[in-house]
Amino acid sequence: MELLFLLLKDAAFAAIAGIGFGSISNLPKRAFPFCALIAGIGHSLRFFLINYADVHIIWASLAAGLTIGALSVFIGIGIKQPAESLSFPSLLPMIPGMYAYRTFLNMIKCISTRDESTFIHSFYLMSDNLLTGVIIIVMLGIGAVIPIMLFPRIAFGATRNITRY
Amino acid sequence: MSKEETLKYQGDLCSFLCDYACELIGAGGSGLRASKNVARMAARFGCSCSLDISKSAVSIQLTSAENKLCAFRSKLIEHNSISFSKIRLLSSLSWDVTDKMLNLDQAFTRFYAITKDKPLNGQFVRVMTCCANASFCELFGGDWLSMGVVFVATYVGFFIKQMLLKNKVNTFVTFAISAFIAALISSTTYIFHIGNTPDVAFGTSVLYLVPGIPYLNSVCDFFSGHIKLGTERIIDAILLTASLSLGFCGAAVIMKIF
Repeated sequence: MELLFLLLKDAAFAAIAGIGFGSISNLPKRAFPFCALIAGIGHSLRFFLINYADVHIIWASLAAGLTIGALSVFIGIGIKQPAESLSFPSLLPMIPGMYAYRTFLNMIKCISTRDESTFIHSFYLMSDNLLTGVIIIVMLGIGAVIPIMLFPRIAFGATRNITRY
Repeated sequence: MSKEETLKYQGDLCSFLCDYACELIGAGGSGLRASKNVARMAARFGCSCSLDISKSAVSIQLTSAENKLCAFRSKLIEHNSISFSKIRLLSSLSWDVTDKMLNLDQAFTRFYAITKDKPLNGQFVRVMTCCANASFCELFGGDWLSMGVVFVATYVGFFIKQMLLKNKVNTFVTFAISAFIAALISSTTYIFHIGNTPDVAFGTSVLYLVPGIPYLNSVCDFFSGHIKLGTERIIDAILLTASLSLGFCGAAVIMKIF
């Protein structure tokens, strides 16, 4: 029961983050609820895999990216939205912003210290966060693009015969 | 049609397709979508096309299947503001040109209307972004007070970003200033001991500026073979991230947080 509550809480906040950041990119209002749904499912799946299935964040991100990509392609055809306009905003809550933040934080520590051991430790943390952040972005991108590549006719045909603009 | 008329028609068609591709790439469309949509419309008019897409310009060569006459156009992409709404409408236009057999004038009229597509209300976007960033704070383990501070920091930072971009200030400078202000406001969690997670509040206050869409777009472009477009997009995104980090670090140094 506690797990369900945590998953729902994670999904709810990810959904808000997804549509919130999507609105910066002029996401059509009709796509908001679907985008929230996809973002919630993707993020809570990653949360579950990392915290309860002991999967590394990189592989969990790939799984979440694939799920979001596939859902976007198939929901997109129903609501006449391009797959990217659903998958990209849904992936935004998983963009490793905190890894980028820690990368720069440790870079500053590297620059500002004169102690060798502190420098080495900060450099290690900087490299670790940088590598993980970059690989997460690549995995999310791959996850989103694979369903589009596998089902190009569905993915690119979603905007055919739109009657409501 | 005489040869001159055919050439003029083909030139107009080529200009339209070039404008279309520029608008789609400028709106954040992937290279794959742009090439597919343009090829689809070119085929409807009995032509084949070769596209060279980069982040700043599009070049197109159009060859008539009937008489092998060629037209060539190249155009700079003047504005880059991501709009999923525009991507949807432009993609729909490419299908309508094919399925409903729209002629060039009809297609251009529709295209012109799409370019005038209004963005979402600025105030609405600001509030949504604040909610999103506050949610981000919660996802990273922030408490309610930290979320409140992040909400306020995002509102002010995003408002400044919108104002600066409206006044055509350089994008990198805008990102740095916006991040600096947002980080400065969120540093109050350290100074006034607001909430139990000041580090999360401080770290997440600038995350609304991380260019997530260009990062994802560039990965998609790489994997669909549009290496040049992908490279330009990722370098732009890295530079924007570096700019926001500069503003963020400036605030951290001034407030003596590190």
